[in-house]
Amino acid sequence: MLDTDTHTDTGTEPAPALLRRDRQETLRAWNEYLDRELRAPHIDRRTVVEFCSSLFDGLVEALESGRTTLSDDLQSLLSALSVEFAERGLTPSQTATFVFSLKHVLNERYENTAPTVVGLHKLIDAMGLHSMDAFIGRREQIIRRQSQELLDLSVPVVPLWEGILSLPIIGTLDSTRAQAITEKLLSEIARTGSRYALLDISGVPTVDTQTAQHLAKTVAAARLMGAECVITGIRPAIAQVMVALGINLSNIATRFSLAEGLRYCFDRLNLSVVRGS
Amino acid sequence: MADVHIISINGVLVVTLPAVTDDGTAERLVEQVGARLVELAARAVLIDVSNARIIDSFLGRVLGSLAGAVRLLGAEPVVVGMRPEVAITMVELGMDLGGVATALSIEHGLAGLRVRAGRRM
Repeated sequence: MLDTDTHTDTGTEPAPALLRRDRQETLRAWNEYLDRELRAPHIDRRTVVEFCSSLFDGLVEALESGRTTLSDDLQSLLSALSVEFAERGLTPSQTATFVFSLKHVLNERYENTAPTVVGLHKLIDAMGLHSMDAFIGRREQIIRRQSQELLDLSVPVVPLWEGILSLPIIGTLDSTRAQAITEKLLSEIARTGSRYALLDISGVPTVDTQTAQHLAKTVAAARLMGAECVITGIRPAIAQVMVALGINLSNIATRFSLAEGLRYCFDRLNLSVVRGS
Repeated sequence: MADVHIISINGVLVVTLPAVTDDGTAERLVEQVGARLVELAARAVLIDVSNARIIDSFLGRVLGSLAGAVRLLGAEPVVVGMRPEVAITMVELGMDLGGVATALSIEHGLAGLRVRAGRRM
């Protein structure tokens, strides 16, 4: 497998030296090929050219040293390339095309006098696989970050008054969201030293036993910290459903609107709203 | 064994739980609080748990029995300063300290006691 120096059909030069000699032309051919085939307007042409020449050099170096695995430098170069492609929204096949097209270019160029080095193909394959791994890894990272952002966005804790927080819950309350909401609410309570929190569920389409249980747990945890929660925005239809399901929130203060909830907190804080004269 | 700090402010005992409470400390805790409560005829006990980063079912029960003992002695127990993560753990363990008053901090706890005392007058 490491017969890169002996296996030269041209008989004159070892493959790495041949590649090195034709570097300029091969690179130009590769770039032209990519211009035709890659069709990626979001990526800068200069970046492509730079990646091409660095990859080519890395490949030749690897051939010269007789390795069939990728060096750390080459790996990090491929990772950088894939990350760049993933961030710019290129498809996996475009990323694969980029690496594997070098094979195509080399085949075309050395059609008759091919330096059919096993090591070369192995290396390019390994490069392609590594760049796929890096590409998908980066994509997954982006997806994870976005879902975390979505989760954060869906938990807005708004200070309504000194010592009163409000938390409008919009959408279905599943256990992941319930956990995120509880954590966010409790940390905001601790941070702001708020004694009251209004959980507004007007944006929750339906309340089943599980949702009610999540709410009850949030309220219980807030109470342990010394804050009282008021559940507001219970629509008549939802109240009916809750009664029908036998959900008992009798030890939790509930009000039908956020305004009523605020009024309750004002009463408890011994505050009153007075119309100006 | 970690030390339990008990101080008295205007007839209110403030008990600070150490970061880690072992079995021995927990046992002495209930004894010592009871003794000081009777000695000073305190009307309320603030149990400050803000140092505790981890509360397991054992410590949860200790808190419950401490609060129960204080109430039996005719004083009002208030658990203050529980951390968010501890509160979540307690609820997950099914211990909600039902009926025991809670407050965000010692200050809030004292203010709450003043308000309730004012209402009683």
